[in-house]
Order: sequence, then structure tokens, then C-alpha cells
Amino acid sequence: MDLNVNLDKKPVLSENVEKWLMGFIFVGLVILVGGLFLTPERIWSNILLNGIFLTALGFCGIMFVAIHYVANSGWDVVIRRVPEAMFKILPFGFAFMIAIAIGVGYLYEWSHPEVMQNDLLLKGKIAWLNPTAFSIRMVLYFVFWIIVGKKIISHSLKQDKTGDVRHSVLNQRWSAFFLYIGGIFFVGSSFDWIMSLEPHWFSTIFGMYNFSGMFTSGLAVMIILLVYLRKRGIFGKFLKDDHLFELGRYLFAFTTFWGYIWFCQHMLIWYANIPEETVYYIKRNIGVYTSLMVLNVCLNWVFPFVILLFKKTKRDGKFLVIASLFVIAGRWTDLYLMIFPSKYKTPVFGVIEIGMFLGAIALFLLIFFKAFSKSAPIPKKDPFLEESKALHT
Amino acid sequence: MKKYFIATFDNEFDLKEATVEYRENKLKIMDAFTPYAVHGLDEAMGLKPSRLTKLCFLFGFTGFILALVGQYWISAVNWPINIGGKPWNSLPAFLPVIFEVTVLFAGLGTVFSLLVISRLRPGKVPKQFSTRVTDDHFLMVLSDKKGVLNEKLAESISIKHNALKWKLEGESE
Repeated sequence: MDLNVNLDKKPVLSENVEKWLMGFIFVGLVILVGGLFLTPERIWSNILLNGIFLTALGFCGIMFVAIHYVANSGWDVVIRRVPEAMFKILPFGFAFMIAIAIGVGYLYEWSHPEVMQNDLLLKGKIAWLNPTAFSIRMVLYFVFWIIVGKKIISHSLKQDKTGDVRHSVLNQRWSAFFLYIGGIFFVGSSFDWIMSLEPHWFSTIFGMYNFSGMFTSGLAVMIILLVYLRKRGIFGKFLKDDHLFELGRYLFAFTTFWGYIWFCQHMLIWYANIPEETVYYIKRNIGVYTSLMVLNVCLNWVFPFVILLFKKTKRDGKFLVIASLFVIAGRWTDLYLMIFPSKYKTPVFGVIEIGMFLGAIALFLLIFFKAFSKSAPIPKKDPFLEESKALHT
Repeated sequence: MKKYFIATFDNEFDLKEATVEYRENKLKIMDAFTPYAVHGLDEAMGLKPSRLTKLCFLFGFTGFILALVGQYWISAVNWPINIGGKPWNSLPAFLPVIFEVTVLFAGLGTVFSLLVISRLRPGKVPKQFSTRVTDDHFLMVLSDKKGVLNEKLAESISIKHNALKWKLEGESE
């Protein structure tokens, strides 16, 4: 195999594409700033949605790397630089969420002390749900994810130069540490940022539910980027159909996992029929929201499931990209249904939602390609590289 | 009289290369015996993808339909009982059972069809060409239904790919 030729080739976005991405980001920013004066609540909801979307992509990147270090897996080495570059969006997710911490009054009922004092049920939650604690926890989550994530990635990059096996061993330890604490923090973050939009309501599976959404959307983005980079010839012969097959199976499994968790939460609340729990679904089963709920399940589970049921489609870039696009649209719908019904009796959708989401995606792509072209496209001295190249499924 | 040509190799790479060449020379491959699953050997042998997956789907689908129709018929048609004020036809409550029955049918159905297809039954004595395939030997067994075999050709290919040994074995039917 031609090692040198492929490894020195670097993906640089053409200036034209970069300009387009900048344009989308600019449009998103204009909508954001303009909207803040016209419909602040709607803009804040959108900032929250896109902030969580970007944070989840970054978190999924580093979590994907960490899981494969801990599991001692070899097949993922060839594609590892993609999730590593995805991680670079996490600080931008932090920026979005810092903004949320500042604009906490627009979104969260619990940020008003007088509301909390006069509500018997909310009174007991004051210790957890108050703006100071909210900000401290948010900073804690992000600082942990970013510092430990950077540590793992820096070891991986150092190994490119030295080829020292010690870096892999150390990374296994760091990864285990990250998965334990970072996973708990992820559950905490979804309780904090999304579930507390409706402070009376609670669901213990909510963290898991968000985890599945985070993982499916991260995998979908990873697959699309890999198919694109392969088409550009970045990986040469290193990236085979077999690697896509592994990712396709991941996506297939975790969209089904999402469906399973979604149904768990829905069915238990529907069956138990306890008023303090059903409020959540009553809000989401009125009018247009009902059809959005059906659309959500179709986009996140039914369509990807049917598309990826066959071995051939899981190995084929085209089908994988179609399924991934459904999943990304599904992730947006999923987050929309978590966030917006708490504020709006009927769904709002328009230029603001589309523009800001496209802006967020453009920001992600820009950051991703900048980060990806800084290092060699594959970890060329990883001890597992040979195993990854020889992957056969 | 059925004849077998048995070539023994000591690693998977020689075995795979030899397999490709046997096949290119139109020698009929009966089966390969290896200590562990060798990746890529199925392609080298020209095996078709397993048909079990389709059977698995059919069994699963049968289970799905059976559980769906069964529960509907029981709780909405034949013996309606009011449980917690829920409607008689409560699809969300049926889904877990549908899921389980689908998995049960698909799993057991696939395992038993595998046993039937490969003619495995309790107490069956397998034909063993060498006991060392459970340790460090890789066997390639060639045979033809009619007992026609180009031994010379098979031998020369085996030598070319560093076979440890090769032999002819007959079996009276």
C-alpha cells in the first residue's frame, strides 16, 4: 500500500466552499442578532437547540474515541482522526451554552426566585435549580470534557511523531476516566439544560434518551464526513467498505436503541398515567405536535431501520448518507420536540429555525475541516494500524 | 468410491492463496477446516452469502404478526377486560410482547434451521480428516461428487503454496 502519498495529502476546503460556509454562519448570526430584538424567546430556544446539537457532536467525537480505546479495539484506527476533529466543536458548544446561562431568564421558569418561592413543588428544588448552581455545573461539565478530551487527543497526536506505545496505554486510562465521569456529566447536562425547561416534570431515563440521540446524530455526521472525505481520496486505500460497514452497523443498532429508549419513556408514562408525568406528553400530543411526534419516530428509527436492514446498504456510501441525513433531521426534530412545546402551544417554524440550524452546521463544518487538515488524516504510528487496515467483515 | 484430496497447511495465508488457485483451476472444493474463523476465506472459496438472514427475517416477521394479531384478538375481540381504563386495543402495551415474540421466533427459528440445513443432530459423528485442525493445522479438502479429481494438478498447487503434506483418501459408500 502506498503509505507516503496518501498520508501527506491534506484536505483543504476550497476557498469557494469556505466562503459559502462563512456566508451561512453570517446569515445565522444576522438572524440571531436581529431576532433577539423581535422575538427573544424564540431565538433563545433556537440557541439552546443548536448549542445542544453542537455540544452533542463534539461530545460524541471524543466519546467515540474513548470507547474504542477502552475496548482495546483496532478497527477504528483508520477513521479515528474524524471523531478527533469533531471534538474541536465542543468549545463552540460551550460558547452557545454560556450564552444560555446568561439568558437564563428567557428560557427557564426556575430562574425567577418569586416563582420558585410560591410553588410548593418547586420550592424543594431550589437547591439544584438556581442560576448560580446551573452555571457552575455547566462550566464543570465543559471544563472536564474539554480538558480530558484534549489530553486524549494530544497523546494520539504525539504518537504520530514518536510511535510510542505508551501513549496508547495512557490513553486507555484517560479514556476510562473520561467515560465514567464524562458520561455522568452528560446525563446531568441533559437534566439541566432540557428537562428543567419544565421544572415540574421529571423522567429518570431522560439522560439515556439524550445519550442515544447524541450518539446517533454523531454517528450520522461521522458517516457523511467519511463518505465525503473518501470521495475526495483523502484516505486512499486505507478506508474500505468494511469500515463503513462497521459504522453502518453502529448506526443501525443505535437508531434502534433510540427507538427503544423513546418507546420506554413514552410507554411507561402512558401506562402509569400519573398526572405529574403525563403533562409532558399531553403538551406534545396536541394539534400539529402530534404529527411531529410521528415524524420524529419515522426519521429517527423507521426510515434508517428500513434502509440499513440489508448488508449491502450498510456497506454502500450512498445509502448510508441517505440514512444519516434522515437521522440528522430526526435529531433536530427530536430536540425541537423537547424544547419548543414547553414554550409554544402551536409549533413555530420558519426562517429563524432553518437559518440558525444551517448556520450551526456551517460552523461545525468549518471548524471540522480546519481541525482535520492540521494533522495527518490517519494515525500513522498507532500500534493497531495494521489491524485496522486488515479489517474484514 | 468417493475420493478426497486433503492438503495441510500451517498458516491461513498459504491456505487462502492456495484456495484461490484451486478454484481457478476448476478443482471442486469440499470444505476448509481451520482452528479459528479465517477472514476472507469465504470469498476465496467463492461461498455465497448465507441464506439464513432471510430465514431469520421470515421467522421474525411471523412472530411479529402472530403476537400482534394474537394480542389484539385476545384483548379486544375474544375476552375484553378493562385494565386501568385503557382502550381494549392498546397498541403501546402490546409492543413489548410483540418485540419479545419477534426475537424469540427469529432466534430459535434461525438456530433450528441452521441445525436442519447443516444436518446436525444429537449423536451425529462428524467426519474428521485430522484432529489437528483444532490446534495448528489448516486443511483444504477437495472432492468431486463423481469421484473425479485431477490429483496431479491439486498436488502441484499444494506444493507451490508450501503445503506441509497432502494425501488421497478414499471412502466406500
